[in-house]
Amino acid sequence: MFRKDRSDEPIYWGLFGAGGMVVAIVLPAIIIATMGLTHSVFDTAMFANVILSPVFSLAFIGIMILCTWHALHRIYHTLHDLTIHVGTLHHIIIYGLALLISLAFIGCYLIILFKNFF
Amino acid sequence: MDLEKSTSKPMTMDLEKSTRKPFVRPVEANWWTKKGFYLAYMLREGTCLLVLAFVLEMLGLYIMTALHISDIQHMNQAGAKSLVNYIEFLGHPAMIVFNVLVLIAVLYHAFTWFPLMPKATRVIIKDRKSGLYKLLEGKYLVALLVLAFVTVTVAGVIFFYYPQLIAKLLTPLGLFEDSLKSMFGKGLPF
Repeated sequence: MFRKDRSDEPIYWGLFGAGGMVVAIVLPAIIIATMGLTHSVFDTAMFANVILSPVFSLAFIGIMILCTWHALHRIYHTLHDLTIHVGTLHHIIIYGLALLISLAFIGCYLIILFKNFF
Repeated sequence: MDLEKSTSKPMTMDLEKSTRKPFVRPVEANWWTKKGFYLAYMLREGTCLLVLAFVLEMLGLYIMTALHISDIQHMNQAGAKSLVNYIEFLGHPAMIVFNVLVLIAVLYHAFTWFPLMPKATRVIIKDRKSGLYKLLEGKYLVALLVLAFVTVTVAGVIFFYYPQLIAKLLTPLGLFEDSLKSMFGKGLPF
């Protein structure tokens, strides 16, 4: 089932590449929007608009999950530059953390989806 | 029996284990501080730390929202105390400074990423470089990406800060009527 002669690197590299694109193109707008969140949710339509719309919420978690994989893949490979030789433990911790954050976003999305629409 | 066993085993690329101690060339951990080019490289790689911190900030916001989703639906501001507190924390001057730092890091990432992409993009159709390849090559791709970046940023800022403007533009066209209504609750804001 788990073939040792095939590398799993393309999966992570693909997520890294997609994430890099998302960070470069979409994230600046989200950061600028976050800085405008100074008032309560109930005063601004913006926050509720995004959160209560299933499509925008899905896009939001997609962006955030890709950013997570991008950042952690880059950290994983930069450890080598900081003279830390990565092994199985580093691999499990770093990509495990990425998986955990992704699952947290997906779980919250499902809670919002089911409470809002069903 | 032996033959069967050996053929069913997948081929591995394991090299024979050497009994000698491997030679690792000593490298100082601070090598990248000694030359501007190396420093720029490490700063580029370091932008991912701020991206990760921002993702965690957003995860906190999203978890708070999921916990208080029924309060948001019923406009129950008193019930969503911790969510309101979290948003006030995001509006704290220190967090604004942090977000500006994240923005600078992301912009640095963006403008090192765009020239990098054409080098990693290889579009080969039917064993040869196609016309699409030429389009995706070099300065055209960079221009395209910068255009996408500017468009998304401007559109995003308009969407978040002036949602009424979008609604005003779309209403006469009759587009997205249902989703606009659901976005603005019972009635459109004008």
